[in-house]
Amino acid sequence: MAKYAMVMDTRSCIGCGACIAACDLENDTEWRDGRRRTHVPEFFFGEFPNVTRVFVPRLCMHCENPPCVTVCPTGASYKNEDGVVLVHHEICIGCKYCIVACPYLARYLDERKGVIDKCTFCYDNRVLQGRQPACVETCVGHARIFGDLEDPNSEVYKLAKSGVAVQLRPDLLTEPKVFYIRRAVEE
Amino acid sequence: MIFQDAWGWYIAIYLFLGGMGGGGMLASYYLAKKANDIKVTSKAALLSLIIVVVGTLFLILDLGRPERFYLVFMSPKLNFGSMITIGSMILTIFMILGALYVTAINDWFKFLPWYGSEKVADITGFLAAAFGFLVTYYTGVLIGIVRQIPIWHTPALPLLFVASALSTGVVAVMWTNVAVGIRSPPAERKYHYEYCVMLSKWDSALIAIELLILFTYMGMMIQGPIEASLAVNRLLFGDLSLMFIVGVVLMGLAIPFLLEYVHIMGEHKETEKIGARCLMPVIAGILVVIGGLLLRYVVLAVGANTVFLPP
Ligand code: SF4
Ligand code: SF4
Repeated sequence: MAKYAMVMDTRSCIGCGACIAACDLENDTEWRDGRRRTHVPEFFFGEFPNVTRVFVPRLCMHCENPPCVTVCPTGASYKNEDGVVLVHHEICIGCKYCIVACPYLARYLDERKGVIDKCTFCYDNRVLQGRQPACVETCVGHARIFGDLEDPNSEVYKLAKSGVAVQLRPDLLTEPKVFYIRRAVEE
Repeated sequence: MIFQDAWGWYIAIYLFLGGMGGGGMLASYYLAKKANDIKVTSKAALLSLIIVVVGTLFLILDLGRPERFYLVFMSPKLNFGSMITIGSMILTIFMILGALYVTAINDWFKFLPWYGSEKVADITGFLAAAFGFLVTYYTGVLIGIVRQIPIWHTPALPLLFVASALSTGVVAVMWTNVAVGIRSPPAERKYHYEYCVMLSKWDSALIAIELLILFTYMGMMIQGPIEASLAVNRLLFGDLSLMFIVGVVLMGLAIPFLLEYVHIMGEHKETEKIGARCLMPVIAGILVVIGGLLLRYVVLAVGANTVFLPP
């Protein structure tokens, strides 16, 4: 029993997209525009000449209260005992209700199979064998930190509990388990 | 901000047809009770049932795996809290009750043992009408419960869909009435004409209610949350403004309301031809139906996803 989580250090993401490539190689995603498990959108702050560019990598937040699971009619979407949100592909009907209900744009319909695909934290293929998810292992800037939120010695625990790393849209009460270290916007 | 594109025309058509058929069943039953009618009701109820069945086909076709649709009843891990599970049950019960009701009153089904049984018609008619209402209501709740999309997550949405569904349902009954009226002997046409006026009254009242709800809905939503106000902005000034303002508001609501109003006021005009006498409400009905479909589509299309604030 664990509670897997990830911290994104937006200060050290350089937007190279290596995580996207690593994820595709590891998990065979559909890899068309928008049809992948992780994205690295960029944002700009401020006005010329004081502009800051920030990359905010995104994947499934593995919410503690996942709305995608609440709406799923067939029970294909579920949260497992380690807090990872997964999809039983054999009983997904592709109704897309979960895509609509997910606030974090984490899901897409894999048109090759007609079922939902989303980030698994590489649960079956890596985490169960004691390895890190592919995106974490490959990240150049060490912007992705993976660990167990219930282990007080883990880095994710310290960052999340100290408030250094925060959740996206906590107001939705989904309790996402991906946290973000804010980039200090230069004055 | 990103507008959802997982649900498009197919789901819009389904929400629309589900509403029209459910509303049509309710309106047919009401006509049967109110005017002691059987001729129009028996055909209108059949039409409503067919409309819902066709709508459900669109729902199934929209699935990534249409051949697996049975899993919404039989999945080993069935989630009874999902609005799709609940909705599928409502639709199924509606279809069964509707089929029993139609076969009990429609003389095309004379060969069935329960045809003509008043008891069967009474019970199943009432229940089919009740479930028809649930179908219309559920189409709004389906998307209304999605909390992360503020423009959907409001009580106004199911109410708006119910009003639109009932109004399109009345249109289904009106069309049936005119079609039956044209074929009936001249002596009976007077009744069909009177039905036309009565149905126009119902429909215009429903349109007025729908306009009121729509106005309130848009007016409240434009004040934010940000996703909702940008959604309204897109409806009023963005790429969907033609579809919304002209298609939904003017063509789908305002003009049919006026046409029906003129029809109701012009009650005294005498002519033998039922088609000509009911021309205005029939045309109004076509506009209402197009407007109803466009309404479902634009509401789905402006379902705006959460703003991602960069940390
Ligand atoms: S981020 Fe979306 S897909 Fe992932 S658990 Fe939360 S609601 Fe579900
Ligand atoms: S698309 Fe699949 S996982 Fe998503 S809600 Fe429908 S059945 Fe569940």
